[in-house]
Amino acid sequence: MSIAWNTEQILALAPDASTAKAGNALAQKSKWLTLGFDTRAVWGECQGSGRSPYQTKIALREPAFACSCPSRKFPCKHGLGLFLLLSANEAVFTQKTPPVWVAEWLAKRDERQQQAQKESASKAKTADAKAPTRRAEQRTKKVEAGLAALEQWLRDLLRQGLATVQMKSPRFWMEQAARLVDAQAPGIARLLQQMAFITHSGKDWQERLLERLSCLHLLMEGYKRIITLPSALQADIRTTIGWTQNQDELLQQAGWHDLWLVTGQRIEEDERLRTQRTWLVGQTTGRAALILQFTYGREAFKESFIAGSLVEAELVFFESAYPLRALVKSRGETVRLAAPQTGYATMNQVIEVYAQALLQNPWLELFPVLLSSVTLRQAESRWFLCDDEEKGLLLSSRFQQIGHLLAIIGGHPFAAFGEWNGDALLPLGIWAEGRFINLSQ
Amino acid sequence: MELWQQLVTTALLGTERQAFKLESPDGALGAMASQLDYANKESALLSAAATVALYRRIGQLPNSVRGTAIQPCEADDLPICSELSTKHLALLLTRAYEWLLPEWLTALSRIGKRVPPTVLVALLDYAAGEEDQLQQQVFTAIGKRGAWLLEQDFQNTWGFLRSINNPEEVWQTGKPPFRLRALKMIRCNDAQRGSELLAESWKQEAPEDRARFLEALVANLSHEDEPFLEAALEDKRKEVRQPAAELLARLPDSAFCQRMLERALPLVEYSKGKLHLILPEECDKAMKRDGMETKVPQTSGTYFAITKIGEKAWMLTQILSAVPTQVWRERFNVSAVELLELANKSEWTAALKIAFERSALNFQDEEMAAAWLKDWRGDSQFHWNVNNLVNLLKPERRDSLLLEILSSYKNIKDVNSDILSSWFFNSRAQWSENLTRVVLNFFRSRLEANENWWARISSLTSTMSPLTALEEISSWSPELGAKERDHYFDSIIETLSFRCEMLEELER
Repeated sequence: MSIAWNTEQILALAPDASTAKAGNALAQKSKWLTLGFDTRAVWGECQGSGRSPYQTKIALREPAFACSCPSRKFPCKHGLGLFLLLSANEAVFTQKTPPVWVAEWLAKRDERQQQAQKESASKAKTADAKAPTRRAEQRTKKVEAGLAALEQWLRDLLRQGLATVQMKSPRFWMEQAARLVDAQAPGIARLLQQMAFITHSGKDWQERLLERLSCLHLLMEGYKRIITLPSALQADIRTTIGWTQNQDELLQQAGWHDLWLVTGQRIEEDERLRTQRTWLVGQTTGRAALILQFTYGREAFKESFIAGSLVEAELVFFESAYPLRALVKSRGETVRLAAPQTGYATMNQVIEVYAQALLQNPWLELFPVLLSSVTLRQAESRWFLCDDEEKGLLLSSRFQQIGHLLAIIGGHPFAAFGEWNGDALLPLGIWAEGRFINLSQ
Repeated sequence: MELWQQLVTTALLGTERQAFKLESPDGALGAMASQLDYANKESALLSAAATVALYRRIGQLPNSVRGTAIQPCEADDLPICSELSTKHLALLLTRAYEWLLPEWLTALSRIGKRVPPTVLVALLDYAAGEEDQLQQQVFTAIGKRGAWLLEQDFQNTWGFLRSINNPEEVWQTGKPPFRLRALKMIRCNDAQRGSELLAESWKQEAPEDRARFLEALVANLSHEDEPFLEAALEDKRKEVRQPAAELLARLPDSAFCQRMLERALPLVEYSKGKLHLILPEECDKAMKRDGMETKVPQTSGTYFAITKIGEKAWMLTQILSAVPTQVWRERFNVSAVELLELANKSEWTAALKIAFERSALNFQDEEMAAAWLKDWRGDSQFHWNVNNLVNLLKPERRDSLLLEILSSYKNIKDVNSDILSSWFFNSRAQWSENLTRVVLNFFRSRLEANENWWARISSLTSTMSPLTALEEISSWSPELGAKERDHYFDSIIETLSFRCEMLEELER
């Protein structure tokens, strides 16, 4: 078989720690009555507490999991255990032809995928034909009213001075954010929520806060003149405020084909909403893409990516002056690769390209940085990724795994991928000693 | 940048208090400044701030990092264990299987492999709170990369693990419990250095610490330590004199043992097939200096049988403990077994048997240990030190002795369960296949007699020979001890299977 995932990459798919642990415990031959795989799928039967054994199947392409056990988690512990066992001990998978219950499932999936593509095509067509609905008009009105109120609020704030803000609790910001949520401008609400923590973020908080507030002001001023701006910038303004672009329409466009390296992945949880960022870097074009997915509670994300793997795919990009976010229009085989073929060689390069990106989209939050060879250095108890010109990018204080990173690199140079926010880099993955290590766990 | 600072100051104070006026700089920024609509002061301020902030951001340069570069790690010479073994290790670090970790580490070291870098942090975090022996094993398993990682300067809880690299530093500067461990480590590698260090700081150490540190001299104890220990017998505190005496009692050529021998010889006679004993009259000053006491210890922390012997008999025991039993065997021309039989026939049985047992331990006397264990057969009065005697024997001898003892019972059902308790349940040594089979047979017979032994079987799953145990237990009828079986069976099989799997994978 062409694929051999390592344990970390597989465990990265687990919905929570207890499933990962249970999956580990099930990755033993003694737990499975039958085991088999072919080029498309892996399957097995596991004796559980029920009368008949559970039938677990994995479609290798995405990969996608299914199991007859009653668990609502996705993938369940059986799926994880099966996949882990395959990666560790291929030899015990004795069946070579899929039994009926696997073949049927694969056939149904193919059918469903074709059906979904047809549907989204027809949905897009009908959307084109309709005029903007009343709902869209109402939303625009609400947003404009919300922005007007926010403008006044901002003026008051600047009149009294930012020094007064230091006394206020985070509620001051959260309340204002809530009003923007009501005004259907969730993007702005999020920006305000983030500002709540700046006043206590240490030295120079005043500068950081002023920068953020002025950036927000720029957004609002931009919106006032939006029709005079180039269409790509219009898209960025609308996206930052919180409008979404129509995905079905997007999927009708021609996409970018490439062999994409999945360089990093991160999941953030906010109460029950889980947001997953997956970064892809095209190996022939060097172009970066961000796949953003959302789920509630324990549901699986629609597309599965294994960080460190190469995926053949066609992506369509959301409109932007500096396009990053993309959708998967179609995808092919997933294979593994040892190291990225592209990447910045120096930090000066990184900062230059970042500057260009900011020029295009001043509200860019996260900039993807793939570095072909860096070393780790410490200066005054802060850690940096450095090039060979002694220039470095500061590692984010959110990164808590310095020990783990040191252990893996052994002080030698390595390749890395991370998200740069203008001040600090959050590393998501590294390549060392011929292997990819996912750091976001 | 001045323009930016102006803006920040104005924003901080607020437009009500601070007039907002920008000094127009040259160039593009100046052009922007002149376009601002000062009628709406706050808006103008924000617009100016937005432009200047973006200007600064775009002109930002990467940090120059002048810290020292990290010394890269040397290439490791040991190969890494397989990925499946790494997966096993991950399980071993969870509560589910952590008691099997020593076995895994021993096997890993035997085949000459190390753990991969990706688990180093997890393993070191785990080992940081564990005892010496495990820490030593972990230290071997982590290879050069692990040792290198311990030296790196970042937040972690591995303070003591580092000392495995430089114990002398910990000895000089660490806290007492760490210092003891460091001393033990130094002593194991270089006995002389260990005693040198202790002698150097001896006078400055607190009495409690002195008593504790003497513990470290147990390893590699030799006659070179005699002068130091003999001097320690003069220490003001009993808690220091006592361990010093105990250590001297292990050195057959020492003046201490010579003194004990001289006291002992006149007290023990052998004639007409019997032992004749004379009890010492009193505990004189010299005896007291040698750590002897008249007060008979009570049960807590010792044999039950001791409480029944009188003061004088206890003195006899103390003296005889410091005399190797070879002395009597040679003098009277008897074997260890015969010596014990004589003890059994004498009127001071308890005093003698306890003395012979302690003597066996002091002088690593395997013959006496084996004879003593055979004679003991689970008598609960003499329960106290059995583990230590068992551990004295070489593994094959130990196993064959137990088999001998077990088979000496006509009916396996009569085997005293105390034998098994002290022999097995407290010792971590691995069993041979043969021993495993015999003992499991015994357990089965107990289950057949409707006694609940599943719990005890369960507690032994880490020491039985795994493959043999798995075969045996799997072959038992499901009716055996059916009531309790459900609760234990699955986890017993799981543990044994896991052990088989993890050992098999390492050997591959």
